[in-house]
Amino acid sequence: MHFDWSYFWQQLFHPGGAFLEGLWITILVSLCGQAIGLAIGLPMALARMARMPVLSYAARAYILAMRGTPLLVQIVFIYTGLAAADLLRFHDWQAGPFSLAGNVQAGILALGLNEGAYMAEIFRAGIDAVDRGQTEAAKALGMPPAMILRRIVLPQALRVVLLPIGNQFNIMLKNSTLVSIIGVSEMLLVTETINSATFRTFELYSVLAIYFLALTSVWSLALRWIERRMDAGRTQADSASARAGAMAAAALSEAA
Amino acid sequence: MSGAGVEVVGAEVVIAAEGVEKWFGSRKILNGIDLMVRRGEVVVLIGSSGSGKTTFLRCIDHLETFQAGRIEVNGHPVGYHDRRGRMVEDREANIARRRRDIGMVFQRFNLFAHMNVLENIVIAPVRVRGEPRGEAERRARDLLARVGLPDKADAFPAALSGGQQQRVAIARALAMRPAVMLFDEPTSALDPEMVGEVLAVMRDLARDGMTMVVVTHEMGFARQVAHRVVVLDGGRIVEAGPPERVFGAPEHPRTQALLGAVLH
Ligand SMILES: Nc1ncnc2c1ncn2[C@@H]1O[C@H](COP(=O)(O)OP(=O)(O)OP(=O)(O)O)[C@@H](O)[C@H]1O
Ligand SMILES: [Mg+2]
Repeated sequence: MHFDWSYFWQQLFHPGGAFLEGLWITILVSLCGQAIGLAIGLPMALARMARMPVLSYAARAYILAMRGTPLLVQIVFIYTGLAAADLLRFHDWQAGPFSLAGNVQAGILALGLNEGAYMAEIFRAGIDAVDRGQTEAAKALGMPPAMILRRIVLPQALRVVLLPIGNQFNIMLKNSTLVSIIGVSEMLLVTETINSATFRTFELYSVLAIYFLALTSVWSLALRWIERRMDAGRTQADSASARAGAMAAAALSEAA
Repeated sequence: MSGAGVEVVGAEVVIAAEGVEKWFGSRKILNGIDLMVRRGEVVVLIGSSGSGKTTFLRCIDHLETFQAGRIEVNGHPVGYHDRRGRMVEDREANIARRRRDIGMVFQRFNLFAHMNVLENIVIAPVRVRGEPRGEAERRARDLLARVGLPDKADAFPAALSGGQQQRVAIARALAMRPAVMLFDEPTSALDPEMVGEVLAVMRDLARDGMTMVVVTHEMGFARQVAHRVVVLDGGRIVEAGPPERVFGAPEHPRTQALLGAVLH
């Protein structure tokens, strides 16, 4: 078996319309799934940390179930299981030029629900990382709990969670291939369809891998840019404390 | 007379604590504390490590719950309300309302790390009291001048020395126009050369008639500024009186031991 370079270059630089549509579906599904995950994650984290046992245990159960079972199973379960149990059916949806097939909706929902559990744990860790003294000072100034969360704790927690959330989106991009199991024509399924006609497996999957690498790389660059922007406000403070540290170290070595 | 020279006998009562008892689990930390603080009075709390000074101070602000007794500030219980003779814990929003009138200064400053100095001072008056922003900023700059940091409005906390951070923290608490200021060892996390600048600000505050309860090991400050020194031991008040009496002729053996340990 030989590697057909010309076919490879052809697919890489002049992919067919079906593949580009698959690329779009991959991006769409990942972004929507991430958005749902973020929307679920914060309230879920707060519920998990709530003093009310009902809330806390419900959130814990959700997180346990979502992180403890295969995503693939969750996708199938949500698309077919809910319909079979007559709980929820996904209908194709159309509004003007936009349309969203039922299985795409189910895929997005499944990815989002799963992501929500991971987001919840990340948000919880971020909130936990904020010094208790910050909350105490805010309380002492007479701020009510919601204000403390919004103005004091969350802004500081967001700095902590940015990187793990960004990394999680990287995983999301790759996990989105799993919705192919319910027939969503994202990049993997399109590749597989072309493959079944041409049997150029190695070439096609190389192209697929490169496209994913491109997606995740672009995202990593974007993430680094966002991080730099968020750090900009702190640079001054950080360099000042670094200076203080250096001075302390110098003083110590002098004393020694 | 001692203290900053403010006449407090007969002034109205700001803090009234009565029989305050507190357990952490099965350990009793406060053993029935009675303390009355009048407007303009400076009370310094001293006591050995673990005697319950921090815990009592936090009870006043309801940062800690307590199980028996009552504490009123300006005639209102803080964090509790009476329900048929029993004290029931308040809803968070009501607790928050009571805390507005109590300023608290922490050992570790606890400035909001993501805000500059001006924002640290302004946020509570604007968001909690609903003061117009311009007015709050103007007052914040006045307060910064008062604590000797007129040019630090735009600095972030991490860029300030410990002494500067603590002075900002004092300004932040004052911005709420509290009826009383509580200080929990405000200088003990500071390098020695910064202790003086913070104590000077506190001395000025006392001179201006601020009601203050101060936990500190700075006996010089207590001698000069306090109207009354209160000695805590094992969660109870073992001795209280004007500084010249408590320091000059301590009656309780614990006070003698404590002062011996601190003075030498
Ligand atoms: N959150 C807590 N849980 C359990 N025990 C606590 C807690 N906070 C304080 N204690 C205990 O309560 C006692 C009184 O503590 P507190 O901090 O009030 O003492 P303190 O007089 O302020 O001492 P120090 O001079 O060391 O600050 C100590 O024995 C301490 O171990
Ligand atoms: Mg203490």
